[in-house]
Formats: sequence, C-alpha cells, structure tokens
Amino acid sequence: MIIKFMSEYIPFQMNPGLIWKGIWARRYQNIWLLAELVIVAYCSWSVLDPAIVFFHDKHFVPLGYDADRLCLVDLGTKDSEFPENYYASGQMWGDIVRVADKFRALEEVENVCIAEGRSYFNGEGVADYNVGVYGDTQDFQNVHGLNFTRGTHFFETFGIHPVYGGLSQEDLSKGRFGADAVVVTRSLAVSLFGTEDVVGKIMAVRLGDDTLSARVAGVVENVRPFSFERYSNVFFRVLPDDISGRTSDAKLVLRLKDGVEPSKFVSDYRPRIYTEFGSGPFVARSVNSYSFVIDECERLMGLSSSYHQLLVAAAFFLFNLCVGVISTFWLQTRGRAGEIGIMRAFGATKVRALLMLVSEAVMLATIGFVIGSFAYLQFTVDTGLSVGYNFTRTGHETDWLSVYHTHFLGVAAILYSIIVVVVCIGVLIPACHMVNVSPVDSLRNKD
Amino acid sequence: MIKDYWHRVCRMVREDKLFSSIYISGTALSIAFTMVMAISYYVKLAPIYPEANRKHTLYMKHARFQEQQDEASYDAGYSVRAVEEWFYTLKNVEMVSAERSVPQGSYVRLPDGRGELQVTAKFTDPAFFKIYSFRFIEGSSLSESDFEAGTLTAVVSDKLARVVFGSDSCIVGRTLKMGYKNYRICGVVEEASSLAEASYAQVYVAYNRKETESMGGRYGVLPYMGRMEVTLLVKSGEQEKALRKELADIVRRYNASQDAYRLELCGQPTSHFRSVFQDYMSETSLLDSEAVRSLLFVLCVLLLVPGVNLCGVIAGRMESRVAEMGIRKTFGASRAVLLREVVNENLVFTLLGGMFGLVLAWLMLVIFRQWVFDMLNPFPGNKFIGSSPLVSGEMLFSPVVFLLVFFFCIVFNLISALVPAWLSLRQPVIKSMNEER
Repeated sequence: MIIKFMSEYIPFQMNPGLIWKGIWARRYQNIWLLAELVIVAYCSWSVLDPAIVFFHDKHFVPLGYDADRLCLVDLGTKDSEFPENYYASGQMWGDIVRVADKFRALEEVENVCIAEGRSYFNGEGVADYNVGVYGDTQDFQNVHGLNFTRGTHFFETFGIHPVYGGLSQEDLSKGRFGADAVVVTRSLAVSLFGTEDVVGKIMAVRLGDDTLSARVAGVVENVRPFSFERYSNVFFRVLPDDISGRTSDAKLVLRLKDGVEPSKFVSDYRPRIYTEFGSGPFVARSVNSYSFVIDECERLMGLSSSYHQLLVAAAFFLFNLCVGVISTFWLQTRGRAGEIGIMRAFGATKVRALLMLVSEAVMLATIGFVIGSFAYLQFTVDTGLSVGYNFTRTGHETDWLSVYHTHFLGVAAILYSIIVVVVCIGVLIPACHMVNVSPVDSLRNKD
Repeated sequence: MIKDYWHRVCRMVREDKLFSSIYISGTALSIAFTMVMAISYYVKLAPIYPEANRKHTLYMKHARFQEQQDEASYDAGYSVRAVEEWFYTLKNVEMVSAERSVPQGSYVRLPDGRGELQVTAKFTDPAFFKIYSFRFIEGSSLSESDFEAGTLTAVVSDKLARVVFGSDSCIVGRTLKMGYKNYRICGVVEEASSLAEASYAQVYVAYNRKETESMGGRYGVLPYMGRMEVTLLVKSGEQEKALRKELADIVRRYNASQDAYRLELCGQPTSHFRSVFQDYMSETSLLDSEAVRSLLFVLCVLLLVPGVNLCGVIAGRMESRVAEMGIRKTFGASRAVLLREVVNENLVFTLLGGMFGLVLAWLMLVIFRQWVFDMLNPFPGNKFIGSSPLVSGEMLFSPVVFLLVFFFCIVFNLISALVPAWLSLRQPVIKSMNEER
C-alpha cells in the first residue's frame, strides 16, 4: 500500500525506494562522499553549535533595556589635583551633575543617568554575587548585581519597567526603599522564590564570609547586563547617600528622544563635547553609541574573535564539502551519461533528470547527517551541548537552548538545512553539465 | 621539460574547464587560509621594523613569589628596586631596558584645548631605543641625563605628531600634555605597526621611579614585586647562557637572604620565539603551549581536508587518462616515470592555485586586516586612535612568505595527487587499453 501510494503520488524520480536503489548501485563511488558527509556533519556540530548559541543569545533575546536609544559619554578631568575638600564637600559630585544637566538640556536628549563606578550594562561595574533565600543555607546561586546612585534617573534612562511593588520607574530611581533593599528581575524572583511577586521577601547576599540580608522592594522586567549572556538574574541596589564617598570615575548614559539616531547624534556632538559640556575640572571626553559600547565589550573579551573563528571554520568545512560533492558527482558523470540519455529518450525533461540526481544527493546527505549527528550525540551525552557564556545559569532554565532535546533538535534542523543546501549546490554544478548533453551523444557513451 | 608540462596543463585547462576551476579554487582557498595563518605568525616572529633584533631579544615579564608557609603565590612584575639592583647591574647582557605596564591608554590633550585623544603610551628608559631600531625623523631618543633627573621628555610617533600638531616636522621642543603632565618632545619616530607588540606605542616617556614604586603591590612585604617588565638584548647564544647563570645566582641569593618567600622565574628570560607561543608562565616547553598545538592542528586541517577532498577530483581526471597511460606503458614507460609526470603536472595546477591563494591572502590581510588580526588574537587590545594594524610590504613580500607558499603547495600537491595517481597507474595495461571514453 505504501509502495502504491509512493508510485501514485510521488514522482518516480523522488521515490525513496528507487533513489536508495540508485545509491546502493553506486555504493563504492558514494562511500567516500558519505564518509565526508559524516565528518563534515560532526565537525559542523562542534563548530556551529556554539556559533548558533552565541548568535541566538546576541540577536534573538531582548536586552531588556533600550540600547538602540542610548549613548555613553566618557568623563575625565583636566587636572589631577583638586581644591581641598573637593570630594568631601560635594563639589565634585555637583560638577558631574552640572555636566549631566548640560546634556539633559539638549533637544535630542530625553534623560541622562550618571553611572557611578562604571555601573552600566556591558560595563566593568557589573559585579558578580552569590545570593539565596534568607535562612536557607543550601541553595545559593550566581547572579549579577548593579549599583546605582539615588536620583540619577537610572531606570527611566535605561527604560527598565517595574512589574511588581507598586513603584514607578521614577520611584525606583529615587531609591525610595532604603539602602537595605534591592530590586530584582522577574527571572531572579522566580529562580529564588518560585514566583514573580516577591516584594517584601528577604534575599541573602553572600559577601566573603558574611551573609547579608536584603529586602526585595520591587520586581522589574528581565534585563541582560551582558549582551552575550542569555539569562538575566540581576538585582539592583542603591548606593549609600554619602556624597563625600562618591567616585569621580563616572560615565553618563544618555537616553535619546524617539526618532533620534544615536550615530547621527554622536557625529554631530563629538567635535563639540569637550569644549562645550564641561563643568569645573570635568570634561566630556568622548561619546559613543551604546551599540558601539556593546561591540567593544564583546571584542575586548575575545568573544567576537571566537565567534568569527567559528564562522570561518564552518564556512571552510562547508566549502570543502561542496567541492567534495562536486568532484564525486562529476566522477559519476561519465558512468551515468547513458542512464540520463535513456531517460531523456523516453521523454524525461532535464528538470526531472536533475531532480533525480539532487534527490540522491539529498538522501546521501541525510544519511551522512544522521550518522554524524548520532556520533556527536554520543560525545555530548557527557559533555553537554554548548551553553554559551552564562554566568548566572542555574541549570533550571526552560528555554529551548537550555533543554537538551530541544536544543539538539533545533540546532540539528539548522545544520541539516545548511548541509542540504550546500550539497544541492554541489550537485547542481556537474548535474547541469550532465543533463545538457544531448541524448544521442550520451547514448553513444557506455559504461 | 617545464615548457612541456606548461603546454600540457594549458591543454588540460582548455579541455576540462570544470575540473580546472574546481581544483584551482579549492587549492586557492586552502593556500589562502594557510598563508593568512602563516603570515600572521611570520609577522610575530620575523625581524620587522623596529624589532630587528628579535633573534637576540629576551623578555622577563613576571616573577612568582611563593609563600613558604602555605601554597599562596603571587605572580607579578618587578619593582623599580628589582630593576635597579638585579637587572641594570647585569654583566652578561648587551642592553637592559625596563618598562612599566600600562593596561589602559593614556590621554593626550590637543594643543588648542579642542579635545583629548586616547593613545598607547610606553613608560620606559633610554635603553629601549637601543634595543629597538627606531627611525628618527627628527630629534633623538630619551637621554640618560633626563632620565636620571626625572625630566619630563617624550618621543612621539610621526602619525600622532600629525594628528596633534598638524605636522611631523619642527615638533622637537614643543610640549605634549599627557596624563596631566607636560612633556617636552625630544624626538619623532616613524610609527611602527601595532603588530610589533613589544615596541609599539605612540608616545614614549621615561618612567618616574617614585611614582612607579608607589604603584607596586605588597610593597614592604615584597619589595621586589611591582609593575615593571624587563627586556634584555644579548649578542649570542653563549652570552645568553651566561646571562641565565647570572640570573640563577641572583635568584639563589634572594632566596637565601629571606625565608618567607621563594622567588621563581619559571624558565625566564623568555626568547622572542618562545614568547609568541607562550600563553601562561607555567608552560615550560613548546609542546605544552596551547597556541602551538592549535596552530599545528589548524595547519593540518587547512591542508589535509581540502587535499583529501580534491583527491576525488584528481581520481576523476585520472580516469579519463587511463587509456593514455596504458599506451605509454606499452611503449616502456615505467610506473615511477608516469607517476612523477602526473604529480609534476598537477604541481603546476597547484602552483596556479597557490598563486591565486597568495593574492587572496594578501587582499584579506590588507583590506580586512583589523578583522583578521582581531580574529586570530584571543584578547585584542583597545583600539585607540591610529592603532589599526599596519601590514607593510616587508611583511607581505618577504622571500620567506614565497618559500612558505611553495612548501605548502608541494605538501598539498602530494596529499591530493599522489594517492589517486598511484592507484590509477596500478591498473594492468590491457585493462587500461580497453577503457573507452
């Protein structure tokens, strides 16, 4: 019944049984191509799996803040010596605030945040902590923590929205919950307490040998403090109000108004910021778009170079696969010229002849891919598939890349598509040459 | 004979364009990738401006101070005290230079106050310009008297001079404001490529002894630990051996003088060749180095994979020449002669592919140099103004590069042609003659 169905509804050139017979008839020629397909499939897994994970994490997971509307201003000072009590009296902080106000007065700028101690996303100020539920000494996990200075419009500038707690962005930025409280992201709330609404619950933060408690004052939408990490277990803490303790190592994060292009803003203001946006000894040294900041962070961490290496390696393997397919099918040109001639003599069109050849190649690619993937599967049973760069991973994540079988099947689908496309391109080059020979000429050539 | 091969190859190309284009493009890609790797390491190893003495240059970048009571150890550079007591007094050395490591860039203020530039700066001493052969466009290097007196003088690169002052002439005597200090410019040098990592900078100033000493870690507990790195120039292998003995004596004297910490140099001083492949201080042999193993693996993959791939193409080619080979065998040609001819003909194809590959590699290294060198460098540094890697003619057109291409082509040719040709020539004469097209 199956064979009847296949013969009625599937063109005979694509009939799997017939294709398999053709492949088996030329098994000695096809064995090398099959071996190559298995090796390329295996190598492609080891190279493309981490590349796909990195690509997915970078491009398909929302950052959680409005990076495409942000610019970063680097501050510096003209002198290294300051008047007595410059820091303690608050003059230093006042000068930084005045520089920020100058930027805020620009018509293109919606808001400005002072990122003290480089505490901004993809910056050096994102710290790592070990946190758990207060009272439970067992289940601590790694998370990121970001400090912000009260009253510096942190949440409005970055565009981070509150979810629970009844506090607005402005309230959160003003830190109206005390220095002993924190704001957590949704994912951290669920990870620690099993639910999203955790306002009022107590979190434990391990600092060396001490464990401090912190009350959760609010829950915000998930954000990714690093663009290359998929998970977003983050908490935010307001810095103490002691002005004398403020650091001069600060940057300004500018939130541009809707419709303003960061690149245009940067090119318009870069020549002017040093001379026009200073206050006291402070000057604005440089301004860059946030996408540049993110790219530079990834480049300096070596992530961009690793990613490009993987892509180049994958392109190299796939190009060689294509050449291998071309050479194998080209070898078959002579032997199958008669066969193609007979088909054409009986009325088969060039397209049908091509379809037969492509179908054989796709079946070979499928068999090679399955064997190569199975071999890689055995390797990853112990080592696991690529997890990307995820410091805050707990092992309980449920996205498709974190669950083994969905990760494997998803990446397998992508790899299979790429390999089939490459094999089809490789087959079509000699196949087109083969089917363009006239039936009379091809029938003159015998095996 | 070469002309004969050339004619035969031209005929084969005309007869079978598909085979020729596949083989040449496959070879070109393999050779291009291989040459990009080879040239990037050649740039790191060969003498290039201004690091003309790489063969005799040794580095001491770290010291390990191991606590005797527990297993704690501290890996860091050397303090100014260590530089002055241990290194500046060395006898078995031509030149000693110390520099302070500066992880972040320095800021140079533009003269009219219109802005600041972040530049790469080196805080070193006058001996630095004796180890590295800089070409001075104007002025001279840092002087000993200025160094001893702590006078703020600087040598700048010509590119930086053009950006800051609008010209690279009449710069000596002008003032450069960097890091809140005013430096008098005493010399302008031709800027090196940022690929010459040991010597590259845009501003060279003398390190201040007191300031540098105050930056050292664990001062008082470990007075010889700090942030300095030392570069040594020797004149021969014998002097290097004597130098190592002298340094071993210094280590022995230090360890004997106190019992709280044990100093270890971990195989230093390191030669330039070794330093290119050494990722960690603990890697005492080349084979321990991850960089060496990775490079060998990558080179094998880049040559073997396409080579084996193109075996199939050669095998197909041999099938069409079976009858020809049969006829020549009947006229007395031995298998060895035929094999040599086939391999040599194929070598011409390989060399053609190699030439295209080399041109492709040059194009990649010139047009996409930032991308290529960032990709090959696991931890690329900051991109300050003008720090895009300069790939000069001496790097690309060196005789070593051409020799390497030829060598890789020979290897590639043997991998791709030898086996299929040999297998094809094993067929009996009668069978070969009976093969029909």
